Amino acid sequence: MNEPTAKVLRAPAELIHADELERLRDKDAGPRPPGWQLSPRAVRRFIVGDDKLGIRRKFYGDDALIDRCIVTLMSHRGLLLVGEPGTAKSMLSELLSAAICGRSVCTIQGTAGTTEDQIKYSWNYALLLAEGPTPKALVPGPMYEAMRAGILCRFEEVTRVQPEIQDSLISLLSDKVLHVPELDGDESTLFAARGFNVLATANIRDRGVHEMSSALKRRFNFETVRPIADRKLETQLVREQTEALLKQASVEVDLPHDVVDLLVTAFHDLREGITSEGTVIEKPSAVMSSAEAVAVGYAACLDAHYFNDGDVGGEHIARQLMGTVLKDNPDDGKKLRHYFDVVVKQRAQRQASWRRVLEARRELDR
Amino acid sequence: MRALAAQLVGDELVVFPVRHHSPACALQLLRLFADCRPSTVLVEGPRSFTRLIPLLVHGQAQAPMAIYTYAVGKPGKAAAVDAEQADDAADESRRAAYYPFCDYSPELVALREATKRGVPARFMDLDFAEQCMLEADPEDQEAMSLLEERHYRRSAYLQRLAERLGCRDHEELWEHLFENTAPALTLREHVEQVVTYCHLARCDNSDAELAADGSLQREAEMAWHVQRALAQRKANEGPVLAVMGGFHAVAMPALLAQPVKRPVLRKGSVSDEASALIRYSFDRLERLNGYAAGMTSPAWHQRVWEGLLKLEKIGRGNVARLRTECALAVLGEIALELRDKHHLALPMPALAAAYEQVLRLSALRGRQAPLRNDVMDGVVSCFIKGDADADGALVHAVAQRVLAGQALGKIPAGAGSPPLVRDFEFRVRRQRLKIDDGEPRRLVLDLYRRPEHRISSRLLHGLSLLGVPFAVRVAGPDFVLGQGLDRLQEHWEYAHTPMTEASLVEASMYGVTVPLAVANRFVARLDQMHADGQGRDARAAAAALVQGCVLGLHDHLTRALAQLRSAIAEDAGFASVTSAAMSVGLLWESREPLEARDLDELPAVLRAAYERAVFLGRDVTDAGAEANGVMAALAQLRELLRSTAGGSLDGSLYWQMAEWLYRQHRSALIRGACAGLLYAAGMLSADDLGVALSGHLVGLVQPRDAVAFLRGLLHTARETAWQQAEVLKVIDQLLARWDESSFVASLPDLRLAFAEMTPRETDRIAEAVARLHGEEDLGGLLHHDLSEEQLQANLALSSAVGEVLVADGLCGGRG
Repeated sequence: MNEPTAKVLRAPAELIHADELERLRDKDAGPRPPGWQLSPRAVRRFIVGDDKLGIRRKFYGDDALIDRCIVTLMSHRGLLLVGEPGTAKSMLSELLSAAICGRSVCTIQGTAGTTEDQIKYSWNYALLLAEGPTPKALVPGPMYEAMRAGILCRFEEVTRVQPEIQDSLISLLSDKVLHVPELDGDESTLFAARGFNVLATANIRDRGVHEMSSALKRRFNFETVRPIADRKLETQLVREQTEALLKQASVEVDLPHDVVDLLVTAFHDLREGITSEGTVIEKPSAVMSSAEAVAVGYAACLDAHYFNDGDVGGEHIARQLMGTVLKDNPDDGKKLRHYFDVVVKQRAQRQASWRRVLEARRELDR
Repeated sequence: MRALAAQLVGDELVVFPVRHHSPACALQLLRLFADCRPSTVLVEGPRSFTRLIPLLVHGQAQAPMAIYTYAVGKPGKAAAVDAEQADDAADESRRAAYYPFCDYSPELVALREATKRGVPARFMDLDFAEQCMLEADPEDQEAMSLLEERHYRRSAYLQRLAERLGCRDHEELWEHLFENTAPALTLREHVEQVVTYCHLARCDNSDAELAADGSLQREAEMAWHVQRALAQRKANEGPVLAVMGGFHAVAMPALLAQPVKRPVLRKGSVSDEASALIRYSFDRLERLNGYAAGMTSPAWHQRVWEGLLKLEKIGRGNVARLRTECALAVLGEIALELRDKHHLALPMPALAAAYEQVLRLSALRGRQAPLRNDVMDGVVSCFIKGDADADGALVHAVAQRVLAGQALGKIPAGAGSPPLVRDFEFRVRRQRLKIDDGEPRRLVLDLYRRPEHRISSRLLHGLSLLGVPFAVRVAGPDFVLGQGLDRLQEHWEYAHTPMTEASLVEASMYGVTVPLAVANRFVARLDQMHADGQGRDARAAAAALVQGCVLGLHDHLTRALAQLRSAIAEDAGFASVTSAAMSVGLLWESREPLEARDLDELPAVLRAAYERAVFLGRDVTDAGAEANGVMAALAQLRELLRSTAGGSLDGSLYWQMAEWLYRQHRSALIRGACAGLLYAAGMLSADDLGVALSGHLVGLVQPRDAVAFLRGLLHTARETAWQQAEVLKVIDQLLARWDESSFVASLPDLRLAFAEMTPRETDRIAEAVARLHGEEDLGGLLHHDLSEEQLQANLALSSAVGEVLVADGLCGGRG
């Protein structure tokens, strides 16, 4: 880990993986698209890994998806990553911008309150009043910044932004030019430097999101990021990430294998709506992503560490799982109870680890 | 590798390694024919196919075609080569396979070119029956392909190579390595590369594995044919050309170095074998449609192949440009179909962007020209606006369809009567049915005790499904509708008429044997159900599963089971899911006549249906017509738990639900029904029931609700009416208390509540009512001590009432 990251709670991807990026840059012989720090193939290697150069794989799943993303970013269209929450869309977006332009922090976080000047530019009002509209008084927003520097602008959760504000992206994406009508002459138009593009993420099915206009949709290529289908791979990921979190929090707790297994199995069951035994269950509307699984695993360990003797078991997982599933939809409670009654109960008869899960069942009736 | 390749291509002998359905190999083969005139052409494929070559290369024949072949082993000798296995195979074993051809199949190209030049051509592999004897344990009984590629599919080396080159599977790897570049190579370079590829795949197989699946014996046979052709070749003639899968070709030089001993296989254990040329279609060639005898995207390769032929004609052209143009054309076709047929807004820029995406993707992946998967990726990136699983499903399906194509082959006249007709006759005669005259006959089938009768029953049911007018079932159990289940025998009437044969000829498009045709019809029906939105109807899906068993399609039930599973998961109707559970339970219990013993998944499906029904049970409503269904379903679940099939189910779930419904449900009817269930199961004491009943009937609830509770109660536990004095007492009090209008309003429900009693039960209730009022009985219904005036007055009253009822339209014209 590099020096500057030591004091930072969470460093951006380009700092965390600085050495890998440097190695790739040194060995990179392929042609680079204008404005890119690496050739497209090197970007691919950075994300899917390369044993020869000692590059770790960072994104598990669909390699063809990565190819498509990279190619889209080379084109004139923006890239929109869609999928359920917690499928590593944002991580993928961060990795792509870190590899392509060496900067992943030029980011807009979309909310219902995002305004156009948070996207494009605003003014330093003291200077504006004193000097009038001058380039000095202009405060560039992330999009302004990205266009000027010819880098990627990340736009997280673009569908949470009001549709009228979303539509301000249309002209930026099609004409690649930003107008600043307050300024005169050349300064009133900012032409995007080569290498500029928009990398957005969105959640289409969640509540509180807005439909995109079809004009804006046309300017994006949509790529769907799916949850990890391979249970073994997910188990490994959840284990690694949970242990990393625990280490960071300096919590010394042993997370047994069968507990991770149980956690991932429960998440898979509830996400897919069908268990490994083939039992069909109702899917809760709550998000059951790998990221949530890590959060549940982590919280269960903390629970066991601080309130019990540190022996993490099924009941800790069960308690946290309830918190994850029972959010605001009362139907989810019913679905989870059903899951406990028909699936957990069966497994508890065979496996000791599941018996401890079943013990927490009564908390659902409170 | 170079040396190995050099050994394959010589002056006397050319062993031409191919991959089946590879346009690149076909093109190189064409060039080979242009350069030299072989003395003999040998093609990998069962040698009995040789007689079909004139039909295959006939001017009227149009690819895609396939040779369908089957072999029937005698009972007990199915695997005569392996004595240990023979004991297991007590039944007659029948195996069948397809050998599909399309225009760019190197095998077909070789045969066509040979015919054009007057070169003798023949197939050189072991016959299908012999291959069956070698391979004791086939993967797929009915529809295996003779062009199987499992050696490539399973090769760990190729797998790793694919990963390294960023390819998804060996199919993409082949296209990446060969289809893109091969047309620009010389014959020698091409052969070297194919040999390398196949040799590496072969290294992943041990000799034992190759012997077990019959590869070694087949290679010996082919080598023997090659040697014989070499011996017959005259000195001044061209080389012997042997076209075979690259996997086998690489073994040839070593084999041919010394005289080959031809494998001796006695076909004594084969009772019947035959092969026929049939028409085939691109959608059946498409592996992604689930047919084993397949490849991916036949139409895509056809397009490339036609382009290659044009380039060949005008001399060397730019293959990369050709493929790029093909990609654009395919994208255009997909866009057109999406726009015209599905009204999806796909403007020109989207098409342009997709094209750009395809080109850049193939560049990123280090390819000179786009492959099928690049085209598909371009479609995914640019045509789908939204979630790939929701909005993208249509785009995906359309793209898949365009890449696969719809082309249908043609068979020249004179190819003989369709195999289906012969198969029908064979099977019907085997079941000892008389079809030599048109005489109508009766047939009684003992489903429970005679296995051969079960086979007959399935055959006849299958013919009915195919719409072949042959037999009609006149009596017997109907497992699909769940009727007449107490009957043990099926009664049929059958007659073989000219219509029978005519319909069979028509039905032969569904398949070449009766079971295959029936299976295809059955699968088509499942598809239809799915398309009609019945995919969410658990009741229909369960019926389809049972029907599959009745038809004897036990090998095809996986699909029906999967559909049932998903229907159970999606169906939100309590009654429907319960009925599905009942059907599955019934299937499990009737596994004797339906031979569903091997359906290991049934208990799991039953459990799933039961659990889901219990889950849905808490949300039931009593709205209108649903009420009866819900009450019936509640009672059915109780029956299910009592049955043998339901023995392993977790009954506590059901009782918890009943308890909850009894305590919490809004509808008095359902509360009443659950009270009855609980009371009958001894979970609700008589006193508690009395309290609940008087609470409902005497309390402040509306008369309508009060009677609904009673109706529910009597529906599930009618014995309470005479066993529980409390019930009648409360009703009695109630009737006394109600004014006329409440009574009239409740009358229909009251009537319904008692309507299902048998006469005997009605009598018992009447006795109990009489006792309640201190009487012995309510008196006879017949009174003889009436005066004449009274009788006349009553008659007049009765006819007046009748008229009023008729005038109100209440009496159905019964005056």
